Amino acid sequence: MRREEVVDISTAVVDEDGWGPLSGLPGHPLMWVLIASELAVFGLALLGYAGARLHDPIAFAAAQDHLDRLAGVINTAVLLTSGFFAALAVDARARGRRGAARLRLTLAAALGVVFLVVKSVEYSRDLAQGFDIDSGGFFTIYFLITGFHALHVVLGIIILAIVLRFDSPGNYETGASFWHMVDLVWIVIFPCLYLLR
Amino acid sequence: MRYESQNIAKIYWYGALLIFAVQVVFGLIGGTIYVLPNLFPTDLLPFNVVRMIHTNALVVWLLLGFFGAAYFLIPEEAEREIHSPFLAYVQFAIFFFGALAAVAGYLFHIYADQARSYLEQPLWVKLGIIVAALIFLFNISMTVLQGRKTAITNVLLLGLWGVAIFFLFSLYNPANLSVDKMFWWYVVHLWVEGVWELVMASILAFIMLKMTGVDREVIEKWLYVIVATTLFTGVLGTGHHYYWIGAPGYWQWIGSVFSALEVVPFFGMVVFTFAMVWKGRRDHPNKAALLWSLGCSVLAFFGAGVWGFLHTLSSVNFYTHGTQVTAAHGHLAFYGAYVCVNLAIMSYAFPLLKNRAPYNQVLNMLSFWLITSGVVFMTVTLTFAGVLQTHLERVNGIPYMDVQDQLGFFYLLRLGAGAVTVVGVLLFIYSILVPREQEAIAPTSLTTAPAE
Amino acid sequence: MGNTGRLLRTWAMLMSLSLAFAIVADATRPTRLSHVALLLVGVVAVLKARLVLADYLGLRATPTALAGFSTAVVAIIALVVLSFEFPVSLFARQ
Repeated sequence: MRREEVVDISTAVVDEDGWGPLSGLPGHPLMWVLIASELAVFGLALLGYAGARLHDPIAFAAAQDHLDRLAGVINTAVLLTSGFFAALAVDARARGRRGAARLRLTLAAALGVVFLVVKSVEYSRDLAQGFDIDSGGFFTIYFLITGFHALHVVLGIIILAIVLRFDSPGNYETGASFWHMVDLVWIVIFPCLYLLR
Repeated sequence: MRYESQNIAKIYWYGALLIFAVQVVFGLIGGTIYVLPNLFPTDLLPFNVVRMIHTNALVVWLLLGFFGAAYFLIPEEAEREIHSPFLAYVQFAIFFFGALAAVAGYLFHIYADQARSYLEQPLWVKLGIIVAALIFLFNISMTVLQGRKTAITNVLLLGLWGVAIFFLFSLYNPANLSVDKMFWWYVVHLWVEGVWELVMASILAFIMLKMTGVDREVIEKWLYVIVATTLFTGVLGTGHHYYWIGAPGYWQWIGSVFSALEVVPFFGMVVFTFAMVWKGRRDHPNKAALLWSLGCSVLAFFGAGVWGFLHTLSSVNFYTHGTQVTAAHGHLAFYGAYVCVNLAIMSYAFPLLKNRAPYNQVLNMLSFWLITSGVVFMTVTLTFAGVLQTHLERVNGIPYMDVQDQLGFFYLLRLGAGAVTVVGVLLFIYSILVPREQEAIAPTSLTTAPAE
Repeated sequence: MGNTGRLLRTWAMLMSLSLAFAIVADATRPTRLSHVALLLVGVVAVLKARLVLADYLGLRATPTALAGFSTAVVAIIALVVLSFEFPVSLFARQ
């Protein structure tokens, strides 16, 4: 009998929805699993980049000088403004202003397209100079990291489009969380790849 | 046991245990050939055939175990009988006959000689496997579709459908060796580092649900997180097999980064099983099943996670590729993840299927420690052998066979560990199959324990 | 309107920090950065990441998550910035 009582006390530790620490975060908890996973991947890739650069800093610096830093700065501004509109959209949807929310989310997605346009201009210049993903050293890593990020921008635009179609407040939060993660990743990879030298 | 058709699991698990015994015995023979190359007549029992039986039998019995697990847990989860028990037995007959025919054929040197490990079965055996898989998928999908749908059955179905779909790549064998290897990994990697992990996670979740009494809601959430991280890391983690096979160089980055994170879902399973047992309100009498479950997550974490990470970064793998480091990882990973999960569900289910109180738990748990000691010792031995081999062969450039001569001591130790493992396996089979009136050591009665 | 005001403030700060970035890192000219500039680039990146985490991703409401993600970002950026303190190869025999 005594043992039963002791065991019973531990049953108090059962959270209602089962998501534990993830339940307090905005949007679907699994989106946060994805966000954490993505940050881990980009983080590891950047650490690999730092390690690879230490093998041959001079060649890396020479290759890096071919990048268009101004285009990178412009794209930073584009993405951050896009994120701003996405955040406004979530806010509007939470207040029940569906029309305003749609407009803002559409603007956010449109700025995502602008980002991709700028990025593809950059890529075409890199390729014209003879640098591609098989160049080795800096450019292989640069194309992998920025390319993988650009794929996330594409995926993000698709997700935002889905949210526009199925526009519950919860979906707004989930979709915007993914979009902000894409923002966040760019904020971290941009200085590492373009500015530090 | 609540459903009659759960009994189907028994025949699958009997078959699995039989092939399990064959697998470890051939492992022991292979280990002996390493030490005494001329003991067995090489024309009768060449090493390549022994190795083939050891690895093929492993995959076959693990699959039989998964099928059995599915037939056992799906009725309880779906809350209805299996759609067609008859088809389930037909499926077993086809699959088991194919497996035995393949093994017998190997002994007579009949196999698809395409230099593709695990996929040496002749074409007709492959087709038989596919037919059996289709019957299986039809049967369990119908059961689940008509019954209650739970996260556990959804993940299990996703995993088992993946197993069947990725096996289709075994039918395609391109002439270009690099392309051949890429497709070969679609089967091998996407099985063991993808969909098999889903099967493993859902079986563990089922055991945790039954044994700990933690709310289904909580267990489902854990399962979702484990599945998400498995697929996120495992799919692009395939890149770690593309380093030196002629694929583009960027795979070295993709493979390194994603496969480095493959340890995450395995760590998740360790935290999951321990947290559930810790939180659980139920004091389940089947301690052996609990031991195998906890052992499964921990050993899988070390074998698949830690030992995998050891040589997954391309800059490390450049030196260690295909050395005994790989063999060390392979042994502990397969044992921890897939052998243990099978033995866990069998240890849980057999007492129920045979309608007895947990029996022979002491022998069962002893077999856990014997097999685990054997495999862990083997892993450590092979790791040392692999490190030495890497240095002598890859760094110093000494020819392959000259290096092998210097590793003899480690192979002798490995043989000893293998013998212990075989004893443990036989003990496990005995403890599961042979009835007993009472435990070898009577459990302490809780009610008579003195108050503190 | 409070939320919109805060988001607007966050956006303005992010944009000015980005501009600061461009100036500090001297975005148009290919020279090596000084130690101070390297440090500043790192600090600005961390500040921006934190703003996105707190206000865009809404982690201000969950301090533990904010602290966890911020720590991860700080660790990554710190290691990369540190690695740029070494202008010559650490591995090649000179």
